[in-house]
Amino acid sequence: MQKTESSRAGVVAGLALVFALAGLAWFITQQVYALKLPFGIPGKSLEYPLWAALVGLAGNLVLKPFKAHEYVRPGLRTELFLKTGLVLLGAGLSLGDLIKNGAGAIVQALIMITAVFFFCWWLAGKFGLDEKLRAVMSTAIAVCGVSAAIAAAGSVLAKKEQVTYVTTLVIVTALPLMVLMPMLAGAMGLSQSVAGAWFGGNIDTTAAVVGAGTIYGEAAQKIASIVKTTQNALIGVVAFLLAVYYAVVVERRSGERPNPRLMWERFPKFVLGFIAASIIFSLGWIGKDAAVTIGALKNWAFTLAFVSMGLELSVSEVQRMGWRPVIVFLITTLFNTLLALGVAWLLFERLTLGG
Amino acid sequence: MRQFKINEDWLAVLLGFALMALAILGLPIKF
Repeated sequence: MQKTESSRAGVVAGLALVFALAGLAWFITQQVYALKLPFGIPGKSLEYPLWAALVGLAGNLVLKPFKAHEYVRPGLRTELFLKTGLVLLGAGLSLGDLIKNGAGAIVQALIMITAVFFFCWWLAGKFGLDEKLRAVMSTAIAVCGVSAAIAAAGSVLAKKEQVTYVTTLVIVTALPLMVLMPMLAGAMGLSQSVAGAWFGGNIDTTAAVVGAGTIYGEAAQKIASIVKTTQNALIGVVAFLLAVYYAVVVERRSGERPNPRLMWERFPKFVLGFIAASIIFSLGWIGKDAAVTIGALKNWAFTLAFVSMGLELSVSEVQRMGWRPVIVFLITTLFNTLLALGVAWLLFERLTLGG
Repeated sequence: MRQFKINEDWLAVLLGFALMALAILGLPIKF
């Protein structure tokens, strides 16, 4: 009886703490978004999950000496916040974008996602990375971005340290790419459409893609955004395939026969909500204003999730992952950069599929 | 090490759709 009461109080205290810290993370995010950083980097490219995780981590370090962790833990509902955010994310991904964005963007997205995903998957295997980290990282680089990393993490039931690690890498790596790629594109004399397709196909976060495009020119920015939104629209497909693969193959115990009931048990059901939400949005049943509000709610849900992850983060677990994931990430990013350049040049210069 | 569990999935779907409904009804939330 006493235990139930203290755990209920823990839920309330934990939730109150997470919401308060999320408010603080939001405040910091707004200040950073208004900044203009050196080299013309917009503050917006330092996306909110970074601040939310840092605020959570600061809270973590404060709570630890007082041993208050165990008390608030029942209120740190990371999975719930994350998966709710993912369902809301689905309500902003239009399958119609795929048709609207044209052949060039679709062909590029399909080539890039498939090639980069399997390259990273293979390389992570060579480096002996954990199965789940492998999936989260491959999706984050191939589909590009934080949302993709989160969706993959949900689909394969990854550890929070893995999500935080990959998300931080994604946001931090996007910054130098955003500045360097327009400079390189200029040095190579790339046309606006090839440069835009290159930025959109390579840089991982949407804000940095738009930033790079803006530096290079208006037409480049437009193509960059189109290529990026096409990749984003495919998040659901990748998340669904990963969920099926992990439920059917990876989680299968040795000697166990494929069994539909077991697979259904292991399948992350929120993925169905995510896809249903995406279908509803694609059918045009959600108006413009509602879509903006849903986007804001999604950001809040992910802020709560990253604050909780920061609060629960085990520093020793991150240390245990070591530097190998960083090396895999950087090599794959280099591969992605070169391949995206080749594919963008082929599709948008030689075959001129951009228009 | 606690991992993401699946028993919260349906709750997340319910919550997600409830929030979507509130957004459609004009809930004034910004980020």
